[in-house]
Amino acid sequence: MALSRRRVASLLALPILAYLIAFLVAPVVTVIQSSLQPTESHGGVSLGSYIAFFSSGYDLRVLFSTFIIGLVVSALLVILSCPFAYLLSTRPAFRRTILFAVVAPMFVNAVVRIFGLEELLTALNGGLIRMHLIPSPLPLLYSNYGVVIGFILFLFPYMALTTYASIASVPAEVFEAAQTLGASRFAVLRLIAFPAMVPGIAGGTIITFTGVMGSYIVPSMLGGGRVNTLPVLIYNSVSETVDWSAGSAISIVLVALTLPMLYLASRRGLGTRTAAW
Amino acid sequence: MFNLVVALALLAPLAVVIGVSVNPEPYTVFPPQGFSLRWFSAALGDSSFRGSLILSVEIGLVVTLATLALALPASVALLRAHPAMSRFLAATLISPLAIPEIMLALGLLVLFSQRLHAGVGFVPIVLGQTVVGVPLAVQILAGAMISADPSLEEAARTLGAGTWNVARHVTIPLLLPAVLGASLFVFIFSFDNINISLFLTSPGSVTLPIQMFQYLTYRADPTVAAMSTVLVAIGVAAFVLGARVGGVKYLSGGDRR
Repeated sequence: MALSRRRVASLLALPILAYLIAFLVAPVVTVIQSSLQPTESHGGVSLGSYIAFFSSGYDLRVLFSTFIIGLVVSALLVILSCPFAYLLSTRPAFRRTILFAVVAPMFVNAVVRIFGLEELLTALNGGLIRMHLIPSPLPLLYSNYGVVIGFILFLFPYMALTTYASIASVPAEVFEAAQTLGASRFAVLRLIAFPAMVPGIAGGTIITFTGVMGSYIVPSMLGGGRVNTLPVLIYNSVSETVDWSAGSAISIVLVALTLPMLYLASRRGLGTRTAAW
Repeated sequence: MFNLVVALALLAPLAVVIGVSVNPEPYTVFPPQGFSLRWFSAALGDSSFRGSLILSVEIGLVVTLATLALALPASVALLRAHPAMSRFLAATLISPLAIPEIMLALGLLVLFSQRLHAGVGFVPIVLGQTVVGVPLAVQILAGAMISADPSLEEAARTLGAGTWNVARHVTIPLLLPAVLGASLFVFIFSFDNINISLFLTSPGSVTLPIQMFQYLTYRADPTVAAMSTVLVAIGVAAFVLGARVGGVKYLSGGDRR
């Protein structure tokens, strides 16, 4: 009886399995095929698109700058998230309000948030110039700085919440006990708070890298055409050069970089979730 | 104090959008120089914005229905199937999140336009967004099913309720909040989606986020700010509503995977 009920339950998974084969596996296989397509239209398999990518100084610079942006954004997010998570877990004042401010913007369209950020940074530059603090606008927009600021805005909630989830698992009494036993505030931070946050930081860093490697809109809108990352190259291969084989090969490179990170995260049970934009 | 500053910084871009949209002058400036709602009627009167808004809502509704139709039975299977099957399903159902949306979108683009000669637009956008919607919905639905107390169903059966009555009076009311939460979340995910829509829009079918993105490439004016304010309102409303009906809690933390 129990067995047959389990069989019936398994059958309920058939529609989604069929769906994923048709619309997830098939597109992925198509990308793999397309990446191996020779440039001339005679059949066969060619590594030409990969060779073109890895032998192009421009493409390699884009790969490198994607990685550097991921690294800089991760580092800045860790610096912001550690005090944020620690203060949020130790001081309950305004906790709900602060969590609202962190989570609610994630439900607002990314184009809208970037537009708001552009207007905010423009107003900030204008204000600083009017106060004679700077002679000309700071390069906050349409530059690497703009892209990094944009990614921080979008990825902070993920890093902050994974870090907060880690440190919130430490009972408040542990901190009190350490202080009662004579540990200095710095010792409490270094020996208890920081180690507790490490799994969250690790998970958050993986989300940050996959986020930077998965977003077209942030570098495109805030980089002003000057900042290119792998997703920008992929989209340009579709919209400008119409070289789908090149775009496909770059997608495979992208997955080859992100999949191991996600696999590692799932093995370690780190709290991760890919960004939805 | 630090955290309040962070909270303000995160909300600031949204506040600026609202500020710019009520500015009466025909250029974007913050803080606003006055107060006017004229750009809202301009935005909603703009046929391309209105068309895109309607298209995005249509796509969102179809994606939500398709996702639920696939995710509900899949969640039941995940919980009730043989443990080995269940482990396989858990890994499979989460796999769409491991594939970058951009790659999925590119694959659908090549598949539909080159292999099937079918063209892009509404259908592949819906199909692609549903692939990513399913794991989101399954996390919420399976999370709620796990935390639902099975003894409630058992008690109903012991008291003589048949299968239909158990479902109607116990199971469905227990899961309804999660179904609503999942619907809301998937709808917003679809409505806000950029990566999949970007590759698969066709000239006749441009979703609202892509329409706004293309508009902003050429000019930033109060009309697009007014449209943005409408989207801020929709997003915040969805979040507040989602927090009410529940379900969102199963998404964060990821411990229920």
